Amino acid sequence: MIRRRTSRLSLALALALLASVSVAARTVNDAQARASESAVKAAYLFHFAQFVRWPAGALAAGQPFTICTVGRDPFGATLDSTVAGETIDGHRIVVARLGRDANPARCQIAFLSSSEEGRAAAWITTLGGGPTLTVSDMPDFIAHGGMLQFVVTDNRVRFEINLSAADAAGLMPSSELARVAAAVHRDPPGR
Amino acid sequence: MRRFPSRRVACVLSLLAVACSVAALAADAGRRGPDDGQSLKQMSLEDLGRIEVTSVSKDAESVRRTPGAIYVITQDDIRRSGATSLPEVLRQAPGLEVARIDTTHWSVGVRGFGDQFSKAVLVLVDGRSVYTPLFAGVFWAAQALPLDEIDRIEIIRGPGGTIWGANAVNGVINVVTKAANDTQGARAALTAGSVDRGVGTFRYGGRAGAVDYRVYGAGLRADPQAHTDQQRFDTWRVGQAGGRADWANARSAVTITGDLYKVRVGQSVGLGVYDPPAQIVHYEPIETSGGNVLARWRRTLGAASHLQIQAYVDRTRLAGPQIGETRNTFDVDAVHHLTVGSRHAVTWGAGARVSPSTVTRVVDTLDVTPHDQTATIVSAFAQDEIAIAADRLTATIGTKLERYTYTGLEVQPSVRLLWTPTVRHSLWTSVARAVRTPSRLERDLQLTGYLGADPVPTYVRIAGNPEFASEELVGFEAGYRTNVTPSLYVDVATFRNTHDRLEAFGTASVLVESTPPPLRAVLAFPYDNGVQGSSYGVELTPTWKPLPAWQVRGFYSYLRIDVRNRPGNTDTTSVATYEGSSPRHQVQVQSMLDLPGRLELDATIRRVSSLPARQVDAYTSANVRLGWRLTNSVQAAVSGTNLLSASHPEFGHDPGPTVAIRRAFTVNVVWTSK
Repeated sequence: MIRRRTSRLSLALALALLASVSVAARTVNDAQARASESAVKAAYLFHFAQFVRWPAGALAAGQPFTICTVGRDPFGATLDSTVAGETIDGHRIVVARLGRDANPARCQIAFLSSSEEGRAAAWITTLGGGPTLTVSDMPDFIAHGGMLQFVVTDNRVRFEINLSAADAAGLMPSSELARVAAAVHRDPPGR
Repeated sequence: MRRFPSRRVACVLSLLAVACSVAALAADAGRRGPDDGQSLKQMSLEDLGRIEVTSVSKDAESVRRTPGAIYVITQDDIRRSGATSLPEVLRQAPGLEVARIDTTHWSVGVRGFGDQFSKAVLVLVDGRSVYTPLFAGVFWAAQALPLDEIDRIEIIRGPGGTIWGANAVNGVINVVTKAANDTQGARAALTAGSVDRGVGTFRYGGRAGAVDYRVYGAGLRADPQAHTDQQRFDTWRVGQAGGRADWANARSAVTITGDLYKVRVGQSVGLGVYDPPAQIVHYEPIETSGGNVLARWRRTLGAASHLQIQAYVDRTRLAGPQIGETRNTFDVDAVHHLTVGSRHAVTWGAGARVSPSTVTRVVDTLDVTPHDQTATIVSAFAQDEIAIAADRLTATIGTKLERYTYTGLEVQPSVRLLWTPTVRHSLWTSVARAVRTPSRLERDLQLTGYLGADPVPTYVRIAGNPEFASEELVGFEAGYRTNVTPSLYVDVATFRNTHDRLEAFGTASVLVESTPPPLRAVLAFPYDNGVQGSSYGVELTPTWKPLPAWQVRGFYSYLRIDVRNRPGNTDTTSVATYEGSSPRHQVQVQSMLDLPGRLELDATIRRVSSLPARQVDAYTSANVRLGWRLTNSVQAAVSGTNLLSASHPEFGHDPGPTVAIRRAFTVNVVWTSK
């Protein structure tokens, strides 16, 4: 009998705890500044477009500024809604999703999905020299010669930048990018 | 006998009802969040870097692209489970059967076949095997790494022999510790409670030049569970210390880890005595101590090629009141990953392990002979991941070739297919073979118990069988993962395993012995590969995240084991033990909620069906945890486990009445210097 009573007591406690949740839940959203990882990365891509200068002539007048995702697209509609209606130096921003056989040379920004992890170096070779900003969240991306690599530390998304790789492609990242980056790489990766 | 007490069911339902009403409210509140791209892009670069993100899509993405049944428990999941030991943490994974036998012993099965030593499950800590060839299994009480050191636990259900080699039969549990870079600064944690009397850990992490390092120390003391016979033998004490160092440059990364530990494990062992003839249950604890050092070097060789070489030394010493063992294991392993053309990702490697051991005999009725034995493994494997249709269809084909002291060459091939028609759906299927190699006990044990004095002193003996061969499994699996909605993710996996040469007892022979005296009859049962059959099941694992601050997840696992004696085998107990020692149904619902005021409220409710072979009825159990981040450097939590009853048995194993697992409360305080 005593056993039964204590188990009821603890149940009542558990119920009370859960019930208090319903009151609190309404305010939760305002209290927590949280977002999905892909939405934060999409916002970063938009910022990169603003904080990097492309060489003159990289984009003819009237042509859109193209952000490409290469391989499996992790953003869904988030990236489209982030850049919808935005322009860079008068160029409308569009999103293109490229499969494995597509040529990303016309992309101003190429985001290489983690599905391409085994082919990072091949993609970088394909894009080599052209004025395309390469971004990825795959590990070792910078070691393979990529320019911007997302890193997630302590549930926060930051990025590392490889200034030599950007320089080799004729791109000019603003000093603001290097200041905010989690790490700045200047030496060319060892060969 | 199955019981579904209506009162408990009502309680469970009311808990779920409350959870649902909360869900509705929460979903309503969560419609407009910062996920909206419009609000994020207004932020500065610096502010973007401060936003806490709710999912680690890299992990999710790699899980989604795995052509196998994998589940990952993150550090956050571990912390919010309120658990204080590794097996308790594993309860949140689908397709596992975790049952606590007493304070110091657990049965951990993957897709069934769990027992005190989980013979068919390979467990690794940072790539170091903690599966002992002595009894084939894991001595869980000795795996007392502080849980905060763990970065994640990857649980792979199904045969994994192609990559991991022998004994990865029903599954692999891969514990990965945090990089030293992630544990900078000082941290101290103290947990006090009603069963876990005290758990204390201290850690310091720093940087010396290009090397990140940390050192830790930990102590644990836990009390016995509920015993109707007042034999409170199952106390647990742990002292452990260790560390890790990481160094990396653009091309190479080196990791070194090491631990030292001493553990006192309360246990009960029933054994015969020759003179005077008797059966005695011993309640003295066993002491185990040891240490290990592991070094791993990873080098990027070029475009899409890297090499990893790992070596470790592991020493374990068991000193029990009935038997002792000292074992040194030396292991070296190399893996090379390369991309060939645009379609082939090849992984191949080779390894060797030498594990000399010495058994110390203490009593007449328990021995393992010869006392000195060396287990040697030489292995090689190759696997090719072939992109058949761009990123939509991938085939993975590989095999392991392994030579083991006892059994000679073992071949463990697998074929896997992954189809990802769209970003929201992935389907996979596989067929694989895996083996469980014989333990020392199965080959060389002599364990004798006393039966009775009439007409002469009569004993029963379990005898090792030098002919005992590997157990075999051929597994067919299929699975499907999908985002039903952006906030609801569902993973379904199903399997059918064919088992052969499972351990059983062979036909007894009657011996008459007189040394040491007295004269006696001995009924000796040898181990025999005497059981075969099949098992099948389904694991349904939904994860629902109605708003960034709230996640609800759970699983339903169905398992059926259907085995029989092989022709010629007459064992009358093993079939029933296999079939009746794993729950057929398991349901778990877990809610993790962030509240304003830096509070976390987490609750879990679990229903496990009966284990007829272990005299365990179906039970429902619930855990609740309230966490509070007082300041950026101080956190506190109060947890209650097994709240629905004062105690309940989960697995009968020890001699004497089945031990019941108690309701328990803990208070936990963590301080970090950062």
